Amino acid sequence: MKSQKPTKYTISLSFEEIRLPPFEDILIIGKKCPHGKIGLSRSFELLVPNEFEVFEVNDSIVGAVFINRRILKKLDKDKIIEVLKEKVFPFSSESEILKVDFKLKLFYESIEGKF
Amino acid sequence: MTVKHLVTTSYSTVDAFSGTSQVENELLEHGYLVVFDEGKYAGILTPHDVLCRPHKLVIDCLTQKEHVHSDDSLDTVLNRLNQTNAKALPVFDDGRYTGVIVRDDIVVSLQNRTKSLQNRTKELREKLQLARQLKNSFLTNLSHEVRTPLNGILPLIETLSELQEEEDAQSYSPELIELLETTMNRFLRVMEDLIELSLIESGQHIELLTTEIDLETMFEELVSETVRQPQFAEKKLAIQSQLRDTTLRLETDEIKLKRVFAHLIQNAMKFCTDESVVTFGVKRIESTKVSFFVSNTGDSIVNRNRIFRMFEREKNSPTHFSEGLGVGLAISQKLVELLGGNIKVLQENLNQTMFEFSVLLKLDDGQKE
Repeated sequence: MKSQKPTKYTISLSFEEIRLPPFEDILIIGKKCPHGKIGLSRSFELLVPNEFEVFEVNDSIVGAVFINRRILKKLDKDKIIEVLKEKVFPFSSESEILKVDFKLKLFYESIEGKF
Repeated sequence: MTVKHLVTTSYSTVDAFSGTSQVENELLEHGYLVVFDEGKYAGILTPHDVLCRPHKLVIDCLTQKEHVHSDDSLDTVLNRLNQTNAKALPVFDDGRYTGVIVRDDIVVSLQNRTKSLQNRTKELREKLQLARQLKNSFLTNLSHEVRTPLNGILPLIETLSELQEEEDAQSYSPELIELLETTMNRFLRVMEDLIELSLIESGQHIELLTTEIDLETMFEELVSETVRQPQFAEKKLAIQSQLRDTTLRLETDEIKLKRVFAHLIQNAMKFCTDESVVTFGVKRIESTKVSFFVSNTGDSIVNRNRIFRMFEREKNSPTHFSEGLGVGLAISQKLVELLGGNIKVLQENLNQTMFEFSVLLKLDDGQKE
């Protein structure tokens, strides 16, 4: 008669803080990603009202872009989307949602004045 | 024809924020679902939408659909449905959503319309056929009835003028004169029937002249007019009137009432056997109506259902139809209806025929034109 050894198990456990919404700056939504811009927009509106704006883009892969309003205060949306198109869109795919950290710093070359 | 009557609000609905996997089966079953967001119309979801934009939520799958108006024509809407290949389209009136129009409903409506048009066409074709038959019948009868007396009159006139050339006035044959008179009378009756028929058909005969009628006097006039008719003497007939209640007061159009009796008595004389009696009179008095009758002995009527039709004639011998245009009974029926009554034929027994007709005792103002 065989003796039954007790079953052992191990759990790999980790946790981290998650903030909602799960992004601060910019979200890029692929055209065929499971979550559409309307559903996302409504849920963000419920969580953080009036913090983001949604823009549809004319692109073969990306359907829409969520941009934090505080960034829009500093830089025009067309300029932001131009940067994204050049630097981020080529790396995104249709079924993905990409979170983009977009930290803007402004530099003035010289500030002149009279006393 | 607009699509107003085809706009429906009877359809399956779904919330805009439902999951597409939740509504999959229902969508496939109905072919479309109407999407509402907090009670407000959001769009129409189709399987094509879900295939082209595969998102988790219904609202993300929706695509803009062309809309129609309830005042749009059937053709316009059908074209729109065909162009978009949609099963259903939303209907907007004055900017407000009012329902949907479904392709299947249009198809059924068109099928019903086609069937209705086919039935109507068939009905009109049958009426046209009947009208043609009546026209042919009329022309045949008329041709015969006009030609026959004229064929008799012309030779008689020729003969009389030949005789006139002879100096001996006693050569005139009284029989010739009588024959001429009879033939002329026959011709006149045909013309009178034609005139009466054309008045009725043109609607001019509906004017009624109501007076209080003395039935006793009218019946006496009818008897004396009847006995002067050649046919009366030829067949050795007798005529009898029946009026038990001489105090009966009747207010109606005397001329038309007398015409009805004249036609029916004429008819009775045509079909009764020789040496028989034609009887007419009052049959029954009710609270608002009085029924009259005209009866004769003779062969029974074969086509009782059609006897009041225009140009319908019975045979008065195995091989010959009766003389006349075949309009007397039809005219009688129309005149009786104008007097507020109806007419029917009764077969008392195989050898006795009775026509019974009723008129109002007093024509109402509504009956007068």
